[in-house]
Amino acid sequence: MVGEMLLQGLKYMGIGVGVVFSVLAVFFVVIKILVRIWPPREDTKQ
Amino acid sequence: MEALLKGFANFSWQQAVMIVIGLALIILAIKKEYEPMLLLPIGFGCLLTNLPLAAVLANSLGETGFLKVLFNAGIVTELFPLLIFIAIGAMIDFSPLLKQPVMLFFGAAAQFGIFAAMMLAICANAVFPGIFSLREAAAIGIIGAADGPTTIFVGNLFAKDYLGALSVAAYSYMALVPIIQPPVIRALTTKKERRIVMESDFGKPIPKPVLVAFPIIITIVVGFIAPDGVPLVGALMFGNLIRECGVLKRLSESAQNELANLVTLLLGITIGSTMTASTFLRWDTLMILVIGFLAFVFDTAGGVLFAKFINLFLKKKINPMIGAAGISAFPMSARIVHKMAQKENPSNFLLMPAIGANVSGQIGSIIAGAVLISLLV
Repeated sequence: MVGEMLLQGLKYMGIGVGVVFSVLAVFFVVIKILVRIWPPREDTKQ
Repeated sequence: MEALLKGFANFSWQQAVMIVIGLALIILAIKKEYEPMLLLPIGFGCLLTNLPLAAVLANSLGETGFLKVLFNAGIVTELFPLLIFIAIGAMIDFSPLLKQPVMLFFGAAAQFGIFAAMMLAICANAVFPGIFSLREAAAIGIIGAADGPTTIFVGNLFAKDYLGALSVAAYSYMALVPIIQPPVIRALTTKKERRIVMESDFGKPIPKPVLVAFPIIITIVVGFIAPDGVPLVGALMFGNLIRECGVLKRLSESAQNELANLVTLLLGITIGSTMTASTFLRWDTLMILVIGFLAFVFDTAGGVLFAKFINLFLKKKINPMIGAAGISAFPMSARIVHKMAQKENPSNFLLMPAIGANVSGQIGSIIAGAVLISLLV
């Protein structure tokens, strides 16, 4: 019973860590694209 | 006469213990200033709910008490944590992250504690058979999100009986981050590593279109990749959009102040009302508090070790302490990393990259919560 839960837990851990990294990697790409479209500039108001 | 004494007749030693715990939380909030905005209402809610007959939950006529009404309206429906997320979104400036998007990966690595704590809770079944189900283990793991609203959101779905313990653990350990994190960071890094200076160009401001597009695009992306996370991410990003759009200053200020204050007040006292003796004074509660503490340790270790791993491939090294800022405890964690770096090398300013990792942790913890919900609902 515990062994079964442990295996399932390990599976969820693998999926969980993988998905969190993957989703944040997608966000990384999104930010890179956004910054390429609108690159940071010196503040023109100054 | 009997009616006048019914309070004494309906009082047990367990309730007395819970009242002492409630008072301890109030004292910690006032004297030590540990997350006072939450621990004080939680402590008082605990006090109210453990008084004889608990009229705040249901009066002697059987009518629903005001804290039960608040619980049904704000916690069962998940409304309070989501409203808090709107307020948090309105308070967060994503600029440090947008300037250094690589920090996102530290926000991911520092969620390791969630899953490690989940595994620990599962392992507890080997010693105490049947103590936690898989869903309850996931709810305990989410303490490692270092994020109160996410803990409450997931805890309410998977472990309603433990909601009080989960929330108290999450908020208490968030307050104790300055005590928990430094020894773990020191144990896993060398003095030389802690002295690594990180340079970054923070002079150029992020253009407004990026700040506005970011919350919208992230919400849409989450909608497709992790649909169960949309309420959490959507609320956070809605708050942030209000902040960044530039035309809703009043709403942004209301979200940051009135909304945040009002919901925090109601959330705290309502969570406190779940701390009844029958649900709190148990060995499993004590175990939750211990595993919750370890979740924070694993979070910190996960972030630091990930940074050290990344450094193996980089020519320009990253200060591995930045990894510890990847937890969601905002902005305490970033401040701790900055202070530790300054102590090692007074000319090293890690605050901005650490803040970037810290806001990434906010996003990462929500995604981790969403993943657990997707897998276990």
